Amino acid sequence: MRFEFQGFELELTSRELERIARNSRITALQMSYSSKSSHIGSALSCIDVLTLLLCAKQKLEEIESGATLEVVCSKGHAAMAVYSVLREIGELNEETVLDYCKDGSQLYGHINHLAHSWIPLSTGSLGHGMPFSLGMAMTLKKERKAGHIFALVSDGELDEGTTWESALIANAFGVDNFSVLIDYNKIQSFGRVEDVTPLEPLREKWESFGWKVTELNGNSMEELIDALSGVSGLNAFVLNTKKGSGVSFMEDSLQWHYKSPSLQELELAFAELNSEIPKEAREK
Amino acid sequence: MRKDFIDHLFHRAKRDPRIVLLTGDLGYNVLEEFQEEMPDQFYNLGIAEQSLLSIAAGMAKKGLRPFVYSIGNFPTMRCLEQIRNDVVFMQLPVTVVALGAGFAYGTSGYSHYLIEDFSALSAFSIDIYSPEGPGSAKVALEKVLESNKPAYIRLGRGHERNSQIAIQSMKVDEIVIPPATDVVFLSFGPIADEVDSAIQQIGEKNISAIHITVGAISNLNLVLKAIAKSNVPIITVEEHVLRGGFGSLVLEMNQVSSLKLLRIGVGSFDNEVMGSQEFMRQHYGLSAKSIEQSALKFLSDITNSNG
Repeated sequence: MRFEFQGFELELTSRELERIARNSRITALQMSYSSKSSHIGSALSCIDVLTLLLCAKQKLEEIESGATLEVVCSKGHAAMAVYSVLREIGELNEETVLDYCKDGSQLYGHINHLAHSWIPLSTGSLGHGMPFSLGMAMTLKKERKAGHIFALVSDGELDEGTTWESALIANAFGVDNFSVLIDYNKIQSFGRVEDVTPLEPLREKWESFGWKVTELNGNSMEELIDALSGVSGLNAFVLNTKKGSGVSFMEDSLQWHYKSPSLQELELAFAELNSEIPKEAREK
Repeated sequence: MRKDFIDHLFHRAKRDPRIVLLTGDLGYNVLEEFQEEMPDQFYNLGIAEQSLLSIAAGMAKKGLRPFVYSIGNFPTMRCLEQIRNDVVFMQLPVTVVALGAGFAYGTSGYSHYLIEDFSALSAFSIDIYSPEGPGSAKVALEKVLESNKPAYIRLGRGHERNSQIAIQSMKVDEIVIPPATDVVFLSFGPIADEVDSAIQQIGEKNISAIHITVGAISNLNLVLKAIAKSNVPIITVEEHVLRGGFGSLVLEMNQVSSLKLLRIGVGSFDNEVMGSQEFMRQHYGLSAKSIEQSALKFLSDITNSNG
């Protein structure tokens, strides 16, 4: 399976990407455990797509492609996902990542652009990342530069008016280098999406706004590669995901929007991911 | 004033392709030439101000110099969080241009008044400009383009005039208060016109007043230092609420313990009174006549208390 971006064939195998995603899950769990911070479920649900896109960005830089790939993680509460992937691919060091949420660290509970130059926008308040990314995409288009911009949004974030304003504007301006990635894990802050503000029929909503819609399993690396390889145009990718994906007892559960794992839970989670808790973490 | 500002922006944009003008579907009879001559630098993003601000921030992130153009509250109060998170925290060079300083949209009513914007935006690390007339609006634009910081320009509407008698602090490097000065008026924005008229009346009563327009808040320090040397009373005038307004900032930045200061502005807003700019200025004590009367009373109170 190959991954193509703007005409560049990138050496990314699903096996290697799955390994990075698994290790990123382990790092994220450890970050949540040691900082006792919330949102591990939200981080685990979108870690696969972040792995693919950040690895692709790294490859593009390595080969000096000149093509622009930007990912704005608009769901800023998934900070652990972004930071753990950057750690796994060597863009952040271990010490920095394990300082997550410690006083004075640039890595706090919602995404900070000062943590790494690949983070275009600090997020945390929903509904900002999509229009901001759209502004970047419109600039690339105006300047006729090769590239594609991705905005990763949560399903709850689709309640925000700016999402739909941006959807209208992107279509009105014929934006052809922009994708919104909807982390559709079906759970928002205080309940299930279908009970709070139902989004269905989601495909039809985006299609009626003039967007090309692709639905896929957002926790399957193979499906992600297949869907995002050679991406162009104006797309909404509906990523059917599981909140807490990869750790059975965290999956599809609202409590892991808030809870951090105990040592015992961390052990169980690590065992599922075929890993052992580092000695330092155990001794904490 | 808005037309002069946009004309100047037009000429600068011709020479600098990074300059883009974003509007929230406003600008009838003002923006057409820009739109026609430079379609690649003009975006009418529709009536979606919050997205407009975030899109502008994304454009600035990729190297453009966006100017967001709209009326009063729409690109300011409505977008406060977008300005806070996406522009100011990111320190991106987006310039918000709001029309209708004070009561300029008069009979349009409260929805269009720009009277609390300074209170809100001065909490942020953003350069704030409120030029009094077309001349200083151009100077403000030049200063914005020299800098690479977030900026807010608060313009009037159409009929504002350049002050003929004021020291325009934005245009000078040094301010000297003449020895015989009895009072210094500091004005913020197009209300300068009323202050000019009030000063002419006061002058006839043998009171020596000078008027300094503070078109750029970044110049306020320089202004206050000059006044501190002479220790003359100050009267601030703003077409804006007093709470957290321009006069409040003067109080906050003042270093003179014995300072005598009168703040003229909108004390508390009365939601049952609406009308033309002239009417609203009169209602809130911001007409030339009211400013003159308030100033005379203030100065006589000082004389009496010294007496």
